[in-house]
Formats: sequence, structure tokens, C-alpha cells
Amino acid sequence: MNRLRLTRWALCAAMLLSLGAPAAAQTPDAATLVASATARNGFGFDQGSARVRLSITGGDQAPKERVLRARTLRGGAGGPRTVLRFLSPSEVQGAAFLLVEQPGDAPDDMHLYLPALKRTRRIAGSQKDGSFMGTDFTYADLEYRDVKTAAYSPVTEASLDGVPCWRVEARPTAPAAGVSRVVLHIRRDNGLIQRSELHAADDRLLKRYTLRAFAALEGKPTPSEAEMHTVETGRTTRLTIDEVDTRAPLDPADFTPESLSRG
Amino acid sequence: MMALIVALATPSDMQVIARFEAAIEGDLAHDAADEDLLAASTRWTLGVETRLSAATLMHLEGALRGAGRTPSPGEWRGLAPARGRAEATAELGEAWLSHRRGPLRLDVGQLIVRWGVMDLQSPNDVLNPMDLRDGPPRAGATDVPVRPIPMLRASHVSDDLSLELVWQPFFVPHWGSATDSDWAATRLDPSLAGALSLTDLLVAPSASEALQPLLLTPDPPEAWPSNGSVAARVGTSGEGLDLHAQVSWAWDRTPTLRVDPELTALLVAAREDDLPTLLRLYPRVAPRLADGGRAVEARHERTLTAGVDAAMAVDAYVVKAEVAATPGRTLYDAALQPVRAPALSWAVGVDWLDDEALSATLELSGLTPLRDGEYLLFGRGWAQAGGVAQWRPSQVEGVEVTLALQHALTARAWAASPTVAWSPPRASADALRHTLAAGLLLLDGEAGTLMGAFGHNDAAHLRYTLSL
Repeated sequence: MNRLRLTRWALCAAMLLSLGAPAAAQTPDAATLVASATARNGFGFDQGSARVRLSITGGDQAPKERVLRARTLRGGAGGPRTVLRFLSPSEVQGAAFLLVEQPGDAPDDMHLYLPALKRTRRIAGSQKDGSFMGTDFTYADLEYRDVKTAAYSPVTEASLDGVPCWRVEARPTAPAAGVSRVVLHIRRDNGLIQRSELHAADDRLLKRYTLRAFAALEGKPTPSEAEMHTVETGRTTRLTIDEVDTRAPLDPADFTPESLSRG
Repeated sequence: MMALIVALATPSDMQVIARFEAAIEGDLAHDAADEDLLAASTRWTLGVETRLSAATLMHLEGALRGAGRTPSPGEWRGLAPARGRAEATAELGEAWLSHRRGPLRLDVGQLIVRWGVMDLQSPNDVLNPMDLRDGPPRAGATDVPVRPIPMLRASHVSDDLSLELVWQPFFVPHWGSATDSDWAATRLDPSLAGALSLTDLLVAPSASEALQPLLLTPDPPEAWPSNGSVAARVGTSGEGLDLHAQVSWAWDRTPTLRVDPELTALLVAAREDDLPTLLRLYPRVAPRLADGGRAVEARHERTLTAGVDAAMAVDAYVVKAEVAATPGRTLYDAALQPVRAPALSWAVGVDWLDDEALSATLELSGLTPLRDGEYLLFGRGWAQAGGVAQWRPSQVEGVEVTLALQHALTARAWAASPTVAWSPPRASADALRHTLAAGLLLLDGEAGTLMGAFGHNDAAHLRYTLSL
């Protein structure tokens, strides 16, 4: 946590210092740049609550939609804790998912409450490479796992659809789900990931993440709409985040396996 | 009441549960006497879960259930022509208030609390009675076959430790039928099956259903606070491992049942059309019962049970183990006499999930009596393997295939339940969801096993579910 704060401060300081400085000095360090862009969770906030809509379209299947409430808590024992509680549709209503991130390469702790069984079950940590609730996102995508622990190429300047970006390549040190290279375009104006492309070992493009919209949240730019497209299936999952409340009162007791059965 | 709830809650706080189910089940073969060949049921479930305040959550759920069963034409049930039966019941489901203050939470009401880590046979899942009215759960069923009962649960949760205390003020037996169903308890023993004829002869069909709980539990412990059950569970979770230990002082839901031996002989004679024995015993049994004598005496014993369970993530698998020990459990010996014996219930298993398309659970479970003897249903000890696999083929949208299997390892007995369900795509998440499911329930086994006793109940079912 402290390291993240430090890296963000370092980034801010670097950006402030870079104003008016020669072009060569403006290029940030890759690790610092990526750490800043991935410091918040996959739903765009450090700690708080948000309502998330996941719309799945394309491919050879009918459109699907899932609505959930995501809450993230930092602090306490272990890493950040996230609870996802599904609100609709009926087949997943009442299901709840708890993710307790572990430092380093240790597998995260994951539990799922299934209302049909009235039971909370542990899920294997390696399943984070699998689909997140049937969407094109994996649990690893939502944690930026492939790019957080990686070797980086030097940062270069790039323009993406007219948006000035920093371009950096990340090669995961522990490749998972077939991803061996991730090409990131990070917006120069606000530090958000504008696009990330996940490639296989044979350099085939597997998936593409695109930021579609963002909004200011307490002065910080925060993604409000993004999508993940899977090339092989032609399917796209659009993630829409609203009702973000970073001041929502959060109780650590709600972020435990025992509490998943009680909304 | 519902209007009050809606008024108290803001829309984003409230979740509505609305579901309609209709099912029809047909016996695959007319291979036993007194069988129902066709059973149909409907169930309307309506519920709401809403936050009454930042600290208080309320859940209220109820169901209207209709069921009908019909025997084959010309069938006789004991001494009387078999007849179709129908019933309609209103059932209160889970209904609770949950109040939280910091790490403390208090749940009160009609609750389902499931302890243990196993899905199929969980030795530590001891708090709620089972709903056995329709036999074993069919694969892919939407409801868990457990009965919510009144209880109070206090829990304290911290980052690395959880503690739960449960108090159940009343004894609530398993929900089942003594005589009035193909899944009736008397089917376990052919000599008792003659009782079917008596209830059918003596009471109207509508009263027969109401009579079943009394027949199953004629002497329940009195509803008095000192007769409550208590249980405690402590656990820790983290770094890939969940570990829990629990202890309970609760009523054994299997009664020590003693049937008047002459009445048993009378029932056997009735079943076997043994008129001389009937004529000899009836004049002796009938006056005794008429004078207030007890045909059946059933006592429930309280028992101390201690258990531990663990679940650990290992690569793509979750490995689970569970064990419960009790110094006294009600079992029956081969002569149908109740015995209180120390026993160990155990289970080990593994869960595997591949993306969302395929998931599987495999469990090995058993009961080991710690006193030598030959016990009804369990022999000298019972062990079985069971599993459930669920597959959602990506090629066929909305299809879900579920296969549940159980195979005894200490006797020749097995059960299988394959089901295919299909839900057509919907325009939006708010649209109604229709699901059509078809499946089979197959059982077979040697005499003295559960699967053998109910082996004639092989059936095919069709189920339609509409949910909001």
C-alpha cells in the first residue's frame, strides 16, 4: 500500500517536474507508469462501492446482461478484499463472490456463495485465469495480474485515435491463460489505460480492452465504461460502472466468507 | 405486509424472488405393489430481501405448493383400492431478520444455516432437517432439500477468526411421509408397509397428509426452552485454507422407535392376507389400543456431536475433508430394534471448475459405527462414492447438462440422476426466464440398502420453471 502511494506520488511529482522540461525527460519509467495505471481495482476505485453492469454481445450467442454491486476494502489482514453481489438476472441473483488478494505470487483466496445450495464454497485460486462470471474478463484481467508482475519494454510516445498515449509492452513473469505479451496504451492526460492488447506466445491477438468513457470521481479520472473483446469468439463484454461511492461505510466483517450469505 | 416492506425499502435495496415451478414425474415401471405411477406438483415461490436500515436486513419467503399422485387403474393399496391423492399447502420459507453491529451479527427467524464443506453428504450439516417428501433431490433441482426452522444465530467475524453460536428453541423433525408416499419411511421395511393399508382405510386422503408428521414423530420433545438445541462453530480462513471446528448438543432426528410387536405381526398378516393370524391378533390388539395403549413409542435422544472440516485450494482443485463424531447415534439393528451406538461420519472430496462450462464434484463419504453389529441401512459400516458434474456446452446456448451419481462401496447399490435443462435466450436481464428440464432418477440396490428399498421408484420427470 505504502509502495503504491509512493509510486503514485513519484508519478505525480515526475509529471509536475516534466512540465516545460525537454521531451526526453518527460518519458516516465515503465514500471512506475504501469503501477499508477493499475493501482485501482478493475472497477476503477481504490475503496468503495459501485454498481456494475456487464453486457455480453457478439459471437454466436444471444446478448446477456449481469448486474452486480462491487465493494472493495483495503486495509486489515491480507490484501484488498472485494465482494461482488449479483443483483440480476434471476439465475445469478443472490450469488456473492469474495476475492481476497494475496501479495506476490501467492494464490488469492476466493469464495462463492451459491443461493441454490445455501452454501459458501472455496474456489481454487488458479481459476482466476478463467472467465469472470461468464464474461470476456478473467479475474486476472480485473486485477491487472498480467501486467503488474512483468518485464517492461521502454516507454514510447504513441497516438491512439487522436488520443496522446504512452505505449509500453509488458511480458508477464508468470504467464497465465495463454497471455505472453500485453501491449498497453496509457493516456497521457489522465494515466488511465486507453487500450490493452493481450497476445499469445505466437503473437496472435487474444483479447483487446478498450476504455470507452471516464468520469471525474473526487477529482480523479475513473473509467465509467470499458469493453473487452475476445478475438476468437467475436464476443465483447461491455462493463458499465455507475453509482460509485468511495465514501460508502465499509465494515471488514462484510468481507469474510461467513458474511457472503447475508446481503 | 408486502406493501409495508416495499414502502420501507428503496428500490435499489430490495431484491424480489418470484418463481413458478410445475413438474410431472412418471414411474418408469409398475414393478411394486402400492405404487404411484404419476405425480404432479406446482410451486409458487414469492420472496423479498430488503435492507430496513444500514444495519438490518430482512428476508421473507413463502411458497404455495400443490401436489397430486395417482396409482395405476385397478391398483390396490393393502386392503383397499388405491386412490389418487391431492394436497395444497402454504409454506413459510426462510424468514429472518439480520442485525449487525461491527463484527457482531445476530440472525433471528426461520433460517437455513448449512455448516460443513461437502455438497452431497455433509457430516457437519446438522442444523436443519431434511425435506424428504419427494425422495432424493433430482440433479439440477432449483431448491436445496433442507427445511428452514426457527433459530437464533449470533456470529462474530474478524479478519482471521469466525465464531458462530446457534440456538434452536424447538425440535423440528425431518420432513417426510410415514406411509402416504412411494418415499414413505415404512417402505424401508416390507413388514411395516402394511401400515399403508391402515391409514388409507381409516382416514380421508386430505387427513392422511396431515397425519404423516404424527406417524413419523409421535412423541416429539416438548416445545420448551430447556429442550432447545445449541451448537457452536469456530473457523479460520485464508492463504488457501478454510478450517472449522464445531460442537452441537442437539436432538438426534432419528427416533428410537418401538412398535407394539403384536401390531407389527398384525400388519404383516394384513399385507400377506394371512386371515387366521389377522383374526387371532385383532381381538387382542384392538382393545389394547382402544384402552389408550400405545401402538408405537418413539423417543428422541439428545446427542453431543463434534466435528471438523477443511477445504484447501490446490492448483485448479479444492480438496475437502469433513468428520463428525458422536458418542451416541440412533441406529437400528437387523431385528429392527433401536440401538444407541457411538459413530463416526466422514467425507472427503474434491471440486473442480473449468471456466464456467464444466464443473465437477467428487465425494467419498461414509458412516462407521464404533460398536460391532449389523445395522439397518449401514451394515457393519457404510461407504459410498458420489459425484455431480455440470456441463454448459458452448455450442448449444442455454443448455445445461447435470449428472449426479452415487455408488455404494460396502454394498451393491447405486443411484443416478441425469438432467438436461434448457433456457431460451432473453432480450434483457430483466425479462422473465423460462427453463424446461427433463431427467431421470434411477436407483437400485440389494435388500437392506436405501437404494434397494426405494429401487422401484425409477422415474422420468419434466419440469418447467418461470422466474423473474
